[in-house]
Order: sequence, then structure tokens, then C-alpha cells
Amino acid sequence: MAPLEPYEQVLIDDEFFEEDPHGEIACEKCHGGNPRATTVQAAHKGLVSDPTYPDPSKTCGECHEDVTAKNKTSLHVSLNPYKHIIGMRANTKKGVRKKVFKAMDTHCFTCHSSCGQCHVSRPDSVEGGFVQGHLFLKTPPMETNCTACHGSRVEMEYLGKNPGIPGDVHYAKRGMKCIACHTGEEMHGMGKDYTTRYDAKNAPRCEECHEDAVSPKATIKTHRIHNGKVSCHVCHSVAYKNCYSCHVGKDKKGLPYFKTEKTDMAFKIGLNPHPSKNRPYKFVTLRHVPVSKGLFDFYVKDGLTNFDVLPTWKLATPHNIQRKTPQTESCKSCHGKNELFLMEKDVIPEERAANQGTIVPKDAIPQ
Amino acid sequence: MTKKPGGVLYLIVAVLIVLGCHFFWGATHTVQSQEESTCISCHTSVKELVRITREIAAKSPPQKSAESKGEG
Repeated sequence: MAPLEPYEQVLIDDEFFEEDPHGEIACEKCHGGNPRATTVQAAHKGLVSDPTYPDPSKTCGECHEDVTAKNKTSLHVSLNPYKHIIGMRANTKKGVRKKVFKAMDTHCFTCHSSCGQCHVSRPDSVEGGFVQGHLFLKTPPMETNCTACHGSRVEMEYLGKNPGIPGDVHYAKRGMKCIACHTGEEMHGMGKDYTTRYDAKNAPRCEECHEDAVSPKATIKTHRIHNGKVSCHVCHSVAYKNCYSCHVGKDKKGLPYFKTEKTDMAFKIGLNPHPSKNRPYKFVTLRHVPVSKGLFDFYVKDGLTNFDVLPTWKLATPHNIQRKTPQTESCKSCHGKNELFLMEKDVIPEERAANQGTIVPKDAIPQ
Repeated sequence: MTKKPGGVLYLIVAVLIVLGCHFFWGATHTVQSQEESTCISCHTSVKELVRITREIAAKSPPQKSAESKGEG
């Protein structure tokens, strides 16, 4: 998504003052600054561009306390899964660990959202700017506020932008936007610090709409056979994006950069690395995430000495669901079809230890 | 029961007074706010914002590294 022109980013629509109840609040009450100053510099002294991050309790919370009370546990704000995962992989030496987390502050934790960066502006990580002239939008638009950040994987998959691969049936046939499955309750936080988004209480579940598919009396025979053993995505998603070997650092001007070595489109079924009550399946789709052992080498050597405690092929829920896929054609489309499964040969030698829990042994591939 | 002919007239006059006050006060109120606040006068003016943002951009160094490569 192209960024807005600088003037567009901060242009307030007259409608904001005329139609939106938030337009009745004096600017400085939320943003600080000096509304009586006569120069740009003086007017912006002490200005807070996003008064809703990290703590919206004094702004949004004045009226929407029920929502802001859980704000700290919103994964878009806390980024808790990142902290947890890198924390597990990180060197346990205090000094090294500190440098890893400092690097994360620079490179990872800048990608977050807030009340304002969903309901008023585009997120800062995509250069910000008002979505609609500072009007407060109850439902954030998908294009400017969801896929603007979740672009490489979710947007490309869901909207069918990966060449030769159709978009998700929920979008292509039904026009469903993100909010149809990812509710406000999920986005606003559940009051608990989850370590993975898959554990979140209000995370989307296919069976909420497709109840029959998970019933022991499901009308489709293959649903009855595979119930609880295979995730929905194993049969109903198609090739998706995998990223490899991210490294971060700073250039000569001190600006942070990242470099990922490659991306590819693949479809891999593996052993479930994170079985849970909601996802008890033995087989799930796996996506390679861009983490690498040398991710933080620019800042500190041996930053991720416990790299192998978690897989690099992770439980994935690709956003390209189809009713009919190559896997649904016949039993033999998957059974005995080794190339669909994540096998040892598919994993680079230095990551095999990390993926022992996800690699499917040859004799475990269903025949 | 007999109808009072003046009742409707009073009602019309009252409605007109209320509406008149509403529009007059609303317009005055908005104008006053905009006059008082430089935030509003600047941030609702395309011309002013184009001028200011161009000035700022000319002075500001680039914010993003050209070395970033690949998909994030």
C-alpha cells in the first residue's frame, strides 16, 4: 500500500468537527502541544502524536474504560508472543540477553498497534496518516489497517495476490473482511498475556461457523475420518509463503535495516508443534518463519544460543482456504505422498535439531 | 373540548426560535473554536499543510534505511 503524501497524513476533515463526537474534544486534551502558539515549533512542543500508545487510559479510557482496561493484553500492543519466543531462544547470560532485547526494541517492537493506529490512523509502521481525516472509525478498514501490516503473507494469500494461487474462498466468494473472523474482542485483548496467538480465547475457529465439519456425525465422510487428527488447513489450504534467514542491523547513517535471504511458496504438512485443547491435531500445516541463529549478530554474538528449543517450521493457519484443493481430490492425494510432508531432507542441517518435533518420520507418513 | 387557534402559532414560533439559536450558536461556536486553535486552522488547510510538510521534509534526513532487503 502506497504511503500517503505528508500533508494528507495530518489533514483533518471538517466532518470530524461536525459529525464525530470526538471532534468536540479540544485537540490539546489528547495530544498536548500549544493551540495558541503562532509557530509550528511552538505549537508542537510537547505534542504526543499517538496519545493512545502505550497507555490509552487517560484518553480513550475516559469513556471506553471497558475496552482500555484490557489494552495491555492486546497482542497488537504487547507483542507478547515475540517476547516469549525470543526470550526462550535467547542466551541466558544477562548481558547478552539485554543486548538481544535492545535490538528487539529497535527492530521488532516498533511494529505494534494501538487504539489510534487502528481506529484513526494507519499504523506508524506503514508511515501512519489519518485513515479518514481524523474521523474515528468503529471498524478499522482492512486495506489501511490490517493488510497494510499483515501484507507479505496474509494479504497476499487472502486476496489471491500470489501468482497462480487463488485467494481465500471467504474473501473471493463471500467478500468477508478480517473482522468477520478476528473480532474486536480478540483485537482488544482478553485480559491475559498469551504467549501465542493460537491460545487466545477469542481467536478464530473454523468450527464456529462450520459446526457440522467437526461433528462425529459430519455429513462429509472425510471430515468424520480426520476429525481431531488433522487441522482444517491440511486439506483446505494451498501453497503459502515461507521466509528464511532474517538478519538485522544498522546502516552507516545509523538507520535500522533487516535482510531476509529468500522467500518461497510451499505447502508442508508436519507434526503439530503446539497441540492444545483448541488444536489437538497430529498433523498441521507448517510455515518457515524468518528467524535465524545469527539474527542479532550485528549487535551481539551468540544471542540465540537456545535457538533449538523451538521449531523454525511453525504451526500455521494460511489464509488461502479453498473448498477443493489438490489434497481433497482423493485419499491418495495425501496418503503416501511424501512430498507434502516436512521430512528431514526439507530442513537445512543447522535447523534440524530445532525441528525434531515437527519433522515427519518416513514411517509416520499415512499410507 | 375547543381548540385554541393561537396554540399552533406559538408552537411554530417556539420551534423557529430554537432552530435559529441552534444554527446561530453552532456556527459561531465552530468559528470561535477554529479561530482560537492554531491546531484546527492549520490542520484543516491543505495549502498550509503542503507548505509546512514540504519545509519539514526538506530539512529532515531519510527515516528508512535503503539497505533493508526482502520481505518482512
